[in-house]
Formats: sequence, C-alpha cells, structure tokens
Amino acid sequence: MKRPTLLLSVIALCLYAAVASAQTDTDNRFMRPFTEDFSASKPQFFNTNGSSLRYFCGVPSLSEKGTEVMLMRINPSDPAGAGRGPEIATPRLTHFGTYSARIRVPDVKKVQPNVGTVVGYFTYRFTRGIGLSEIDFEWLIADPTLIYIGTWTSDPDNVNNLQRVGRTINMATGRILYTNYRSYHDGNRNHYFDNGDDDALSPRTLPAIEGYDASKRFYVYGFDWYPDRLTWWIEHPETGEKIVLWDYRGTTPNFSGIPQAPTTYLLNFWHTSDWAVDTNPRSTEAPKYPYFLEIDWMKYEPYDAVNIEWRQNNNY
Amino acid sequence: MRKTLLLLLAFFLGAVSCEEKPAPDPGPQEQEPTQEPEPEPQKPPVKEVSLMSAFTDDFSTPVPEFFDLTVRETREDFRYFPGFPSLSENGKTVLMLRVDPSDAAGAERGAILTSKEFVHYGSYAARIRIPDIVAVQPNAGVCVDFSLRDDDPAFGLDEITLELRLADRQNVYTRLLRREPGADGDPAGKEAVNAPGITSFNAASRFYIYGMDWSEGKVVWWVQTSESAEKTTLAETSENVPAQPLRLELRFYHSKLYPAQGQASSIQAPLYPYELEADWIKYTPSEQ
Repeated sequence: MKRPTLLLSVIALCLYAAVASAQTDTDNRFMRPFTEDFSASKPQFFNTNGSSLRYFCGVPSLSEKGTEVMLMRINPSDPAGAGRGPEIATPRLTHFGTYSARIRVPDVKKVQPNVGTVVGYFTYRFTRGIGLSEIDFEWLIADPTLIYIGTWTSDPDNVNNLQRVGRTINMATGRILYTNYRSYHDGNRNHYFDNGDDDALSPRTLPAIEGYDASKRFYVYGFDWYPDRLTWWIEHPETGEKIVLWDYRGTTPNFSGIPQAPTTYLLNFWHTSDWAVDTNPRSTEAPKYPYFLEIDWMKYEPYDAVNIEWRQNNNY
Repeated sequence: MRKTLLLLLAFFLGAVSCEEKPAPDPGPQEQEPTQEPEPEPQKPPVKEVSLMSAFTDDFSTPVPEFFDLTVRETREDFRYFPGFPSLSENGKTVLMLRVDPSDAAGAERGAILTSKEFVHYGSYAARIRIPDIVAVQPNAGVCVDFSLRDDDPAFGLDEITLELRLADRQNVYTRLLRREPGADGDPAGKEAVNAPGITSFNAASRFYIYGMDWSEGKVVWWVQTSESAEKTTLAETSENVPAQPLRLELRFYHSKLYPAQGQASSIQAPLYPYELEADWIKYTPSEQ
C-alpha cells in the first residue's frame, strides 16, 4: 500500500473511533444496555422490594421445560395499590431506547374469575421541573386476552396532575377497543382522538394472534421510545414477526403524551380494588391464593446518541 | 446258751423278712398311641427384595436421591420441582409438587414419589406443608398421601397411609388397607379421622412433621411440630398389620373418593395447580 493511502486509512480509522466513543453514553447515572435473564439466585440488573418470599429467581419455569425464570408471587394479604405487591426496578436510570420482556401471567380465570390483579411492565419516574415519565404495558389477569398500553405524564411540578394517552387491545381478535386521552386540564374527562389523526391512531387495524392469551404461554412484548415517537409491539409467537400495537406520534390539545424525562425500568404484580378489566366489571377481588407470575427475561437497549443529546439540550 | 441261740435265730429271721422284696411284675401296660410330632406351621413366604438402609432425602438436588418420580410420558410434566426454594421458609430448599388441574381423579393419576427399593419395620417421617386453598376453592378434592404400600400379585395389596386433605386443614386421616392376592375389588380396611391434639393445628399454616412407626403387629401414626418436640399420637392399630416389605411413597392427587370430614362436596377437581412443599422424608429401620 502506498504511503498516502495508508495515512488516509489511519486517519479515517481514528475519526471513526472518535465518533463511536462520543456516542457511547458514559453517564454512570444511567443503566448500560443489558439483558436480565434471571438465571442467578438474584437478579443482576434489578432490585426487589419487600419480602424475599415474593421472588424466586433462577428457578425452573412452571410451564416451559429448559427455561429458567423469575417467579413473582402475590400475597393475598397485600393491600391494594400499584407497587404494594412484588416489584422489581433498575437501580439506575433508563431513558430513550428499546425495552422488551418475555412474560407469562398467571392463569386464574377458572379459579378466581373476578380477581382484581395487575401485571405491570413499565417505566416510571417523576422529575420535578419536567414531570412524570411513565410508559406502560399492563394486563388485568381476569381477562388475559386484553392488553393495556399507554403513558402517564404530568404537570412538571405536580405528579398528581396527570395526563394519559392509552389504547386497549384484544389481541386474540385484533380488535382495538379504544384509543383515548384525558388529563387534569379538563377534569380528566375522556376524549377520543380525531378519526383523521393518523399520528395518534396508527395502526388503525391489527392482526389477531390466534389463541392469544397472556396466561397460556410466554410472549415477547416491547416498546421503542423516542422523544417524538412511541411504538408498542408484540412478537408473533410462531413467526417472530414484530406486530406493532400502537405507533404513537401524536399530541393532544394540552400535552403530547410522550414522556421526556429519564425514568426507571420496572415490573410489578399487584392487587387493584378499583380497576376492573373492560370485559368484567366485577373483577376487583383481592387474590385468594398466592398466584405466580413468570418472567423469562427483560432487556434494555438505550439510544445513546439520542440520550446524550437530550441531556445536553436540557441541562440534565 | 439255748435262749441266746433262739434270740439270734429270731433276729436273723426278722432281718430276712424285712428285705425288700422285688415288686411283682406289673404285667404289660396299656400304651398311649404314639403321635407323630406336629409339623411346624409353614411361615408365609417373604418377598425377596432389596431393603433400603436408613436415609433422609432433603430434596436439595435436582433429582431426589432416594425416590423415583412417576413422570408422564404422553405430555410434558410440570408437577415435580425438587431442589426448589421454599415458598414459606427463607433459606430452605424443598420438593415442590404442583397438582395438575388436567389430571384425572385417582391416587394413580397425580404426582407420585416411590422409594427406589423396599422398606420394612421402622419409623417414617415427612416434613410437609400443604397449600391453603380454603379461601379460593374450599371444595377442592386434593389429597396428600404419605404411605407404605405395595400391590403384589403373589402377596396382595398392603397399605399404611397418613393422609392430608386440602379441604380439611385441621385433621389428619389414617388408613390401613389389605386386599388378598387374586382378589378383585377395592381393598378393605379401616380409616380414622384424627384431630391432632396440637394447639392451633393447621396443616396449611406451617410445616409439620408427620410420621408412622411400623413394627411387627403394630402401626402408630403421629405428628410433631418440630424434631425436638414430643410426638403426638394420632392413631394406632394392631389389626391386619402388614408383615411384608413395602415401598415408601408420597402422592399428591385429585380425589373424588376422599372428601373432607363433614364436607361431602369437597371432591372438585382443582382449578389451579396448587403447590405442596415437602422439606424432607426420613426412614429409620428398626434394629434387628
């Protein structure tokens, strides 16, 4: 190789390395990319709260041979309310990126059809001056064919002034029950997006996943979070195809609905006494037995360049 | 002189007359008929089997050391979880059994642990906690049998059982059954319902140690709150006590035959795979 060509190659290589390192997020307040496979006796990337008898990590799956999981066990004596049951959370912050998990919720329709219990796969954190940053995947186990997705944001200085965008889906039929929003701005009245609002309503139709039931097998769920876009998806269990559940790029009259602030990555399992599943208004009973939830893995893939730029622009 | 001679003669004549005379010949006597010695009663044949030595299986390994598991071959089996963290005691490793709602009713249809070889007279104990299902399905017909049992074509069926019924947390059931070889039908025997004389006994609220002492001609069933506590006798019997070696078993199954006492409706199939915990099983043979 001639000397000028060699020199140019070396310079190009150095430039590439410089650019690459500039895009790697080294802020130690934040989690680095990880896959938690729950194969050890304790989670590697999550903290647990409450009694250790709620969590069983690195144990054989109750339903899938050869898979090691974390089991969460709800206690019938747990009080109602989010976070009052078993819950795991990252010890450091997460932000824009791709989040995914493989989960199987308990099958309780026969034994306690009116149970009021939520499985939440979500992010959550309130930052004063910016507001609440919460993105949800939720299941009300009284009807595990329904999936609840959405966000909660808030007044920048008051976490109790809430803003919600959400979509509820029957994945077994592909039917979108509703896509709506509400906020403290007008007394939390329910609103539906304008029918022509593609940014808020896409996709407008969904394929059914035959036999979908979050309690009958494991499924992979995920969301891709950008400052101006949130896409929730599910992997088809047979084909592996990523089915987009909601590609939200919209806005409402008073808020966008897309969280902006750094957050924490969590999964929990709790009794609700006031949120019945849409298909069963009686489903608010406390659990009468310590049912098991199974988590195979949870993954986080941050968008480093986006996160670095956001922090720079917001002096975070 | 003459008198002296006469005296001597009389003396000698008397001496001769005092001599023992030989007994007269009694003649031939009547003879009792001669009896052949009775043959000794034949001892029943004994099973020619290997007997286990004393053991404690603490279920700390992925495969139990002293028991075989009866695993389904037609579909995947999710009833056995040896070496599993206890659901109720921190730091303990147990055998967790889950009852399968799709299993048919019957002691042969659920989860079964069977000792690898036979056992005989001795003391048997198991530390067990049953699931608390009374709030969620009070009429579930699910049994936990800690048994000595064998069904042999040549020797018949023998069973000594200590049983817990999920619908009845306050009582312990004991049973001894027998069916002769070649006989049809259900085995016959006795069953008893026993309320342990232990304060606040509740088989679902904590672990208890349940046991059977089997000796020649006697069985005693008992329960303890801990290994250092006094044994509380539940029942005992000397009737029809098995004499042949048997196998030690633990079963967890749906039953339609054994409802809780006073609760005839408690024979429903389980609606959820409730979990049983077995901390350990111990066998101490009797000294020879």
